[in-house]
Amino acid sequence: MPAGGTVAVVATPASDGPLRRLDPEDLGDHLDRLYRAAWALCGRREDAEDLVQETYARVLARPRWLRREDDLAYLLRALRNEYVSRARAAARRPSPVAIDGLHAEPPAPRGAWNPDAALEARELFAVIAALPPAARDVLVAVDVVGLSYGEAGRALGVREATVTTRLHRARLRVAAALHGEPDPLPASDPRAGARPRTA
Amino acid sequence: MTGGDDRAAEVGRRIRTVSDGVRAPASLRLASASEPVSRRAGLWRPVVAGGAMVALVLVAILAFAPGGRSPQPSLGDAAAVALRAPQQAPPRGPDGRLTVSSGGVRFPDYGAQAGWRPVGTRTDRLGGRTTVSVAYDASGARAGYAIVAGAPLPVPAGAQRLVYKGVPVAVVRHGDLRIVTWRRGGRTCVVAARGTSLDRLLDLVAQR
Repeated sequence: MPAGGTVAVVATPASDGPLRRLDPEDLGDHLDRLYRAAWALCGRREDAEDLVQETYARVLARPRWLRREDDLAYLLRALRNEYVSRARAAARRPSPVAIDGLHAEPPAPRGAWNPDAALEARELFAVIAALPPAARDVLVAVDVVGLSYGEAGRALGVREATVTTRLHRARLRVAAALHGEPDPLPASDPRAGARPRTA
Repeated sequence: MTGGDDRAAEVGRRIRTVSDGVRAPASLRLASASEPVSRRAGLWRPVVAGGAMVALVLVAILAFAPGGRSPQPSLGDAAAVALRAPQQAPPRGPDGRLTVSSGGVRFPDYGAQAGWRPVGTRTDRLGGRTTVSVAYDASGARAGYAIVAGAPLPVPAGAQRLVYKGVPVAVVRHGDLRIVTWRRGGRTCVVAARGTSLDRLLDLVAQR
């Protein structure tokens, strides 16, 4: 075990290999993908910047030691946990109200993909952010960040088969939302809106 | 493959294509690149070492009030003062709570139950105005809260305007800098921090 300081160890079985330290100098390599994930979780670029910064600050607060999990999967899990913590804290505060419409973005027109890339990303991530947590998290892990099904399962604490099923349904919901169609899995459906296990 | 499978696969491809085109903003790259050094240096040093750079950036961005240069201090000047290192420990009353105020406007102190903990104060003259500041720490983050006497400080055009707990506030962002300002008791309150979300800074808007 390393000498000095507080050590944060990911709780995985000892059979998953030796401990290795998360190198702070490598975190910049994952910045783009974490920013995409944060945007898809929050639905707004400004909130995504805040979320990524706070996640990095927490991760870098002390040395991190991983076993089998790779850096990106670990960082995604940290990002998601930070997002959930902030959402819970925000729920306990009164919501600030915009008073001059500076951030009242009009809804994008439905029925077709917006050819403007920036607007498309904004609309797409807003739709993803509005998904139920279980669907959103899987979609973010696989399609936004690029994890494999196995990596996503380990990062989210679910089986790979569960990732496959949730991902399929999440994609169908996104397609319906973007085309102004009814949700293919309404809230009354027991398969919709399953709460994810805490990672 | 069914029609639903085709549609799901197409959506997946589209999400990946759009996502691949998204890059983190330059300000986030700079902030994340500097984070390891500041974290290793501890809490006080990044405030002192970064304070000069922050002050320069703030003055460059916010020194000019709308309509041109003004003899009065700018919001950026006040934020730079708020982020300076404290000069003394925060004075506390018999109950252990913070007793710092400026013109009757008290600085918040939520005690152990809240995130922001006052760690020091300072007093400056900003454009001839008395400016009292309190530094707050929360989970490794540092925020500076300054109360400036006198007329309102000009707010840059394009600032985000909100109402929080009944208080009209203006928010200015530049990279990882966040500045929140509002009026209370005839004074201008300015809270500034690097790498801290707006939600957390708004906790300091309420007075207690």
